Amino acid sequence: MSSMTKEQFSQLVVRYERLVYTICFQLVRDTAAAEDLTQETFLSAYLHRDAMPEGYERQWLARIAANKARDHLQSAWNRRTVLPGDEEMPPGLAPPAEEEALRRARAAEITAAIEGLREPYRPVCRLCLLEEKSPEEAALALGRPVKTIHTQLSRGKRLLREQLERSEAHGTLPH
Amino acid sequence: MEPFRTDGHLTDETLAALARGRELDELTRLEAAEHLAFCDACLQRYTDLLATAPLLVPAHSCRESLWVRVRRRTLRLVTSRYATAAAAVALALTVVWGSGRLDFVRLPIPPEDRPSVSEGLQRWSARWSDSLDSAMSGFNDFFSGLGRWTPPPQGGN
Repeated sequence: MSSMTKEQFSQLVVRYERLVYTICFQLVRDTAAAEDLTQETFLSAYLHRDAMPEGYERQWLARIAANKARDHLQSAWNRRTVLPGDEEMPPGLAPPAEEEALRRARAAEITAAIEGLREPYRPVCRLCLLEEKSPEEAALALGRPVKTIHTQLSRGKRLLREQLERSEAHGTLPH
Repeated sequence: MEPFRTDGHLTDETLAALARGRELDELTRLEAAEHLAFCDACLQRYTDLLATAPLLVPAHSCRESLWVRVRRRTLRLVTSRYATAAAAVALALTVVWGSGRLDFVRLPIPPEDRPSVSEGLQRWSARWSDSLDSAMSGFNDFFSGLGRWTPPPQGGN
């Protein structure tokens, strides 16, 4: 749809503004942020309108909106919970406390803890930590973007560490 | 409520909760957004649910302000390109000047009338300044033209 004019794009905005706003709001639950993300969505869509698949505008805009909402939520989440440099951490470069907790636990206990993780973290941690696959290989195996694998691996490790520390404190491990 | 099925996709409950506007905790919404950002199947299920639900109306429509931002972004891109080009030209001139290849600065003058280095520099800087003036007036014409430009009336209200 490379020939889309400003007029045609305006019609697209009129047609899908409510859908895009609804997706943004339902994900971020903040009216001001949702309005801003709606505008960001259409701005991105306009700047990349040549890539818009004809006949799939609705899905395409919904995808951009979900991406914008994800970035907003990730940014807010990371500000509160992730130490600088922690989020995109490659395997094996975890902070000392995390590595230490993992070292202290025995292999069988770690396996049990990983198997005890919930989706979407279990398969990522299983592949990257137990089978020692790279995030790129895990991304290919699971059909997820590499960036998402990095994020899920980082968050999965954090969950794992908390679980192992909790288990150590109580002298039990999940099975 | 489990946000994800064992096959890694979002559960019907999670999508229904999202589409019906029920409150989900922040981590679940973040995980759902991360998944919807790449999974075609779940995005389709979600938008299908939204097709049967009343959509929300933003308090402030983005229709007007969107075009202001589009214009601003375009202008920023254009100016950024000119700034990059200008920096590249300045760098190239510096390199050429440093390597002593600016022969055009020196005129074929007999040895007895050879000007001092400062005179040569003055002459060169005057030519350089003239060139810059003419280039800048071109830019100014372009941007003043942009300033006078008004968008055509928008359709689709």
